[in-house]
Amino acid sequence: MGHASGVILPKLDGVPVEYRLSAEDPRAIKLAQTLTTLGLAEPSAWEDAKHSSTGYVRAALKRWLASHGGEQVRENFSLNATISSSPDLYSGDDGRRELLYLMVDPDSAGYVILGPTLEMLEIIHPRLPASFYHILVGAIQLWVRVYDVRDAQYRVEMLREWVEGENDPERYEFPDVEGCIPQSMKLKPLSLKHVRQLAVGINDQLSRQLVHAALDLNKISRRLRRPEISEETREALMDSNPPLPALLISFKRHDAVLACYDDESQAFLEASPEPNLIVEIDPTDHAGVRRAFDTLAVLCETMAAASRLAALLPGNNQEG
Amino acid sequence: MRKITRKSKITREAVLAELALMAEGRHPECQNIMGRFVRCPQFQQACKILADAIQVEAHRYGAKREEVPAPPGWLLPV
Repeated sequence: MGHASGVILPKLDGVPVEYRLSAEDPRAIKLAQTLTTLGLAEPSAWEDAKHSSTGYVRAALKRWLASHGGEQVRENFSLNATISSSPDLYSGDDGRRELLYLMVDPDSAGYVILGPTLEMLEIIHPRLPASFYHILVGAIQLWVRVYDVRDAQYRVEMLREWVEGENDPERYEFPDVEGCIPQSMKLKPLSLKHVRQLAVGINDQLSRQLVHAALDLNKISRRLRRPEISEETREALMDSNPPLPALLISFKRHDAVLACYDDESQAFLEASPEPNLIVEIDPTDHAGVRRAFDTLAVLCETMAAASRLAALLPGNNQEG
Repeated sequence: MRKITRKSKITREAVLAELALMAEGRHPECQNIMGRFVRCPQFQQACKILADAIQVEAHRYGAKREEVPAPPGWLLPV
């Protein structure tokens, strides 16, 4: 039988093996209080969130998204809404210590092909395709970044500038963006008023639905203007890349716009991208919190309307 | 079969009361050692000083760490 060494292990009886703390950020507590007072958070979620202010705020955000078309948005877009203590999710740099930041960003870009729709609308009026395109892109672009033919043109222009100094710039080939643009897109768009008048008299059911859906989208997207951000937050995002596109629009499957997107997308995350939407929240400012949530609601409803429109687009869901 | 859903009966006032305790640091969860650490800058500073001191000592003794005497009743450092 061995001898005892005389060394003993300290007793851990009675020492808690786990500490759980939901007071991790006083700003989350203040926001939870404001959301409860405003009726934006559901008290019944408090127990489900295990009395954690962060979990409770998350539940309120999820509920808000669901009640503003979140499910419909998910059918065509992959967007995330986040409330963070930093304006830069990638670097995690601190912003203003008293603020929280409501941000929306995509995981990946939705994709729509507009060529067949434009051909269909051209039959109704030669300038309707360009009008439809500008209404659609203009409305969505108010809230999230859209990558479309203009980005592709800019990309090719930049690539050409890069090779200008080379000895034999002719050996480089670039996507033919100009060649992929339908002729109807080169005409001047009609005024919104003219499109509205035109929409009433369209006989073809799908064309009428499409034009009405675009007008509806335009109306929803302009319900609110996105709030301005402070100079400090702007400075924190100064070295960021442009926002990640939430939607890619091309005219045909595998056209030059898509080729430019594929090429450019490889550098999207070389630096932290700017958020698609960023709203500063002072958690104690009830009107400000309400405005932030209303802003998010308009973004959601805009993207839900875009999703409904995307579902109508002919040729959009064909494989290949 | 009908699905029975359990709806919490907690009121808005009860949630606000609990959040107010949290905001003031008087919620039971804020009273444990981690809660006190998170809320108290002096506690955080003291821990940092202690951690830095241990770090410096560890570097100073290097391979001869066994020279640091273990508290009575504790296992010797390996």
